[in-house]
Amino acid sequence: MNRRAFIKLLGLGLAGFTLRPASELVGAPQAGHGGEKKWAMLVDLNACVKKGECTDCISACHRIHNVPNFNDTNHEIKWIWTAPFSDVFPEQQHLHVNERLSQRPVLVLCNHCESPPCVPVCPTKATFQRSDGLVMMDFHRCIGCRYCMAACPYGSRSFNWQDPRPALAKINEAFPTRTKGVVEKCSFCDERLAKGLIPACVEACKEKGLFFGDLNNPDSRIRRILAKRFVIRRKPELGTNPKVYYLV
Amino acid sequence: MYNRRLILPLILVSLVLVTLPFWYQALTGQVGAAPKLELPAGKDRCIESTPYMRSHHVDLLNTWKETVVRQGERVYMAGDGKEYTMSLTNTCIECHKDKAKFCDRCHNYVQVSPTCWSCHNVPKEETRGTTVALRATSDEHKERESRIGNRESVFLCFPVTRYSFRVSRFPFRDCTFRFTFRDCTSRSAFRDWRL
Repeated sequence: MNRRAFIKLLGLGLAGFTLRPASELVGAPQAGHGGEKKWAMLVDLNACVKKGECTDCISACHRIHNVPNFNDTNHEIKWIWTAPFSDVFPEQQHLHVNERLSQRPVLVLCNHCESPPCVPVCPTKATFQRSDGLVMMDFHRCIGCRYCMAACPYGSRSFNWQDPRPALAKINEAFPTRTKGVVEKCSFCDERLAKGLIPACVEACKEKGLFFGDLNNPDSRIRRILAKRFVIRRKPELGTNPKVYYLV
Repeated sequence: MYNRRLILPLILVSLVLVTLPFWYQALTGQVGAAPKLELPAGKDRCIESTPYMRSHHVDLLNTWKETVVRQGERVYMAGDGKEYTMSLTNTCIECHKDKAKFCDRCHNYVQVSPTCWSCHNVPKEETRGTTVALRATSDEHKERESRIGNRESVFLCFPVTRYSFRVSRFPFRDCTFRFTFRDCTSRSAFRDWRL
């Protein structure tokens, strides 16, 4: 063939590279139709009772997940805890915050962000994001560098400075403990989700103040609440897209 | 060779000594203290055949580890078609109840110490099969309070930048100032710290 014919064929061949992206665009599943779930949680701040009186969710989580209780805040490990309003929502803080909100504790846990900053910094990919939106911990791979703790803007992660077993009054045999030197955090109860159960904190809340559901399912309870009510999230300006919503 | 009369017999003796394990066992039939494992009663087969488990149980457990944690798949299809949950504590140890009578016997013999047990539980006989409820019983509440007091009702209004005083060699430094990690979650605490 002559040179012109060759150049024409080359142009056609290069055009072939556009075929795959185009097919992906045309056939891309819409949110909700792909069958992939996106788990999220909703905390109703009006339902959470006055401070100190109720720690059902925290107790339930820490009991079934073998989270130790040291009497030392330097070593404390917490998967879910309460914090003052001014600390949880610093960008909403002003001198005259509604007393109903500012005097009550706010339940705080790992937000399982859609763009989690802890995941790309992990040197071993011990923390990784699952396709259903959960930010998971692989304790086998964690080397304890705590880079994820530095990256998390919410302080959701805790490090095991010592062996947790001596501080466990009662071990839940069905769930492993952790060992010294790994970072742990709330896992949205992935072992319960695998059995079709809701997370322990949601089930344990007597005031029905916690909701859990699939954001990709437009009929789920959490989507219906989000359609009707105004919610806030922690530090939205950071772009992490947290998936724990707070009803104020 | 110099000293041939001494060296050659001694070489023969050392050869005999070096090959002692082989010809001694061949002659007397004594094999030595091989580990004896106590198998679980009532079960004739593990999830796979015994020779396979002997050679591949480490591979199997590693595969399970990756599959459960990283892919979220918890059901294992064995070679004979049966399905099992991929869990060291809830599947393997359910049958091989006492790790000291099974796992540790071979592991101690070959001086292998796998690190599984620092996290994965081996239920004790008295607590086997019990589940931990989501809500604590009143007995557990009382036991906990007697241990640590009513700590949960103490509620810090703002993150604490902790001051501790210690007697120091340096006369001008009579207090130390510790900024805990939890304080990083709030800007107000950062302001306190800087002051």
